[in-house]
Amino acid sequence: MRMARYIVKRLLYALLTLFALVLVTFFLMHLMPGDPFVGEKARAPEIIAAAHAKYGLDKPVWQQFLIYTGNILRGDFGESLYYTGRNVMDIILEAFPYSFELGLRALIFAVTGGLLLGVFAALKRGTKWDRGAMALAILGISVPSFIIGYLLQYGISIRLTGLFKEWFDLPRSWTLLPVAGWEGEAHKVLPAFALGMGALAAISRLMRASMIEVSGQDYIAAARAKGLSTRQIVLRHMVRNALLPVITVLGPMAASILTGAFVVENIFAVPGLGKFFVISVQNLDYPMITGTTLFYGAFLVAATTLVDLAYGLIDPRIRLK
Amino acid sequence: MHMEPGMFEWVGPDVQAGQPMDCPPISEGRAAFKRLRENKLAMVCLIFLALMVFLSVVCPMISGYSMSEQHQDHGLMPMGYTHTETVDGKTVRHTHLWGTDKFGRDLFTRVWMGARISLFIALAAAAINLVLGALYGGVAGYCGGKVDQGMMRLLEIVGGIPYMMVAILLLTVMSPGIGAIVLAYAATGWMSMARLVRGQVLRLKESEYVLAARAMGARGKWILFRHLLPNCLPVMLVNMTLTIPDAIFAEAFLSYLGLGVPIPMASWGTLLSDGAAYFRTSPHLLFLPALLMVLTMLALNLLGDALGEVLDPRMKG
Repeated sequence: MRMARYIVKRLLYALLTLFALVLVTFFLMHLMPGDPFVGEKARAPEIIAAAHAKYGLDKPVWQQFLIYTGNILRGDFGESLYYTGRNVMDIILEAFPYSFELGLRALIFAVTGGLLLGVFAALKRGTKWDRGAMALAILGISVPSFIIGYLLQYGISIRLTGLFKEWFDLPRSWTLLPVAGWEGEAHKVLPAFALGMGALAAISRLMRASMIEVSGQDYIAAARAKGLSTRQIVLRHMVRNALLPVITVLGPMAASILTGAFVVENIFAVPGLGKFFVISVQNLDYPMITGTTLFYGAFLVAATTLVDLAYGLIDPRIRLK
Repeated sequence: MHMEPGMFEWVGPDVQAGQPMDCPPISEGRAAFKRLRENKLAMVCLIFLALMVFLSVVCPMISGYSMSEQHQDHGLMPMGYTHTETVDGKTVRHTHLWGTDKFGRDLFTRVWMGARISLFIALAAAAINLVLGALYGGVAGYCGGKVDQGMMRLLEIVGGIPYMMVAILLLTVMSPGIGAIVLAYAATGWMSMARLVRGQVLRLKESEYVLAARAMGARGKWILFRHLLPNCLPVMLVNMTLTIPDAIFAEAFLSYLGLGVPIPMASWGTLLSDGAAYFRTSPHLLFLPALLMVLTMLALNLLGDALGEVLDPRMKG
């Protein structure tokens, strides 16, 4: 019963958040200077009139909002102003899988790396290993992903590759890791690394703190008194309990990774949504901007809600609150 | 150490006289500051940050160039480039310490000017976050009950929207400028501060001094602003120190997308985005502003960690 109430509550929040998001984009579209359908590109007056009718720009604001919401619910974000003749939803559906793959790779890299580093630092607490790991982590959260991206491109794909070619007399086309593109596995290493590094550092800091917190609990002392081996205590009792706070940040972390991908995709020429989004921002292609915002907003709200629900399932203490 | 009776001295039966116990009371804040001063790393960070602020004010003034001054005939020059030309038979030379960008603008001037603008944006955004967060969280925590529940639910709903997307949306609608960036970040960044302050206020309002103030007839507003919020300052300070690098990053990110300060102004973000186009041939255009930005963010993060430890020694690892 409690679980059912918890699920309903989470879903309700998710719906309200989505509603707030639609409200925000709607009002920003209205605040926008000028007419959204009169751009630099010349358009026939009939097209403008048709667009006005479709979005009901001649009707009162509340009706316009209902029409707008209805269009969004049908997945109709309108037609791109920059890529004329193309539907925003089509562009998103075509490009998003690349962004999703890059984001997923970065997230997997960040979670595995971050957990390992955090557990390692906590177990070596107070030693030079701990200090080294945490120095690495604070550096990781202080260097923005796009700077890491350029450093990797310059350091590995250009400088190091050049040196290797010189030393070993390699063919001209050889590279240690490709500078940009999205063809094989080798192309995906550097972007995923650049994008995931910040999240990795944040997770490792959180995991370390959480492990240290858990290690002071009575049940650890009880497990030790029971005669369990250190290995069993660490794996069964400490890591499993310490994981819980880390799970809660996965939602916001996925958000920052996906939005961070806008820039990283540009650096590494990944054919994802990032390229389209940056171009649409620079050209004030409003349907594309709000469309992407709504799509990402819905995607991330869904992801966060799933994480919350999973958290409630794993840890009964949460849903009892 | 070897000890002999002669090393010791009889101070009489009155222990108090030989060892006065009346040392002055140390306030919590002063004690925390003393602990901070003993933390060498934190002091290095603090000095570095002060130096950054100082240099960002002074360097553009003494460089001899202005932020937008172009030298079309020697753009994209390396560090330490000296330009020599003959004007009316006389040889005139000027040096660009950190080289020039594609329009021949002096990079040294632009990077420090960029530091000035980026630091200003970050500080202003963090200050607005602090005020908004303190007010929202303070009122929610102090009122408690239904008001608190309602305000926190609203926060949960609004907080679910990915903030970077909202900032981007806001910036595409507003006319570009420093104010727009500050507003776009502040519109979304105050929520974590509000949650933090609310938690603190909820805890602190059960304290004896609040009860005492109430017994003496103080009203809610007085208690909130005179007693509760000032006592939240330490946590707010730590949070603010950690918000500033966040704001620096947000500015750089938004500038990279093309939503930064308008040309010919420079900020770290616009410098990075301009420099990125030439990073294979003139990597210093990208890596010099990047280095300053990263060091500043690193110093702020380290300082924030140290402040957290100093104010709450239990957090120490």
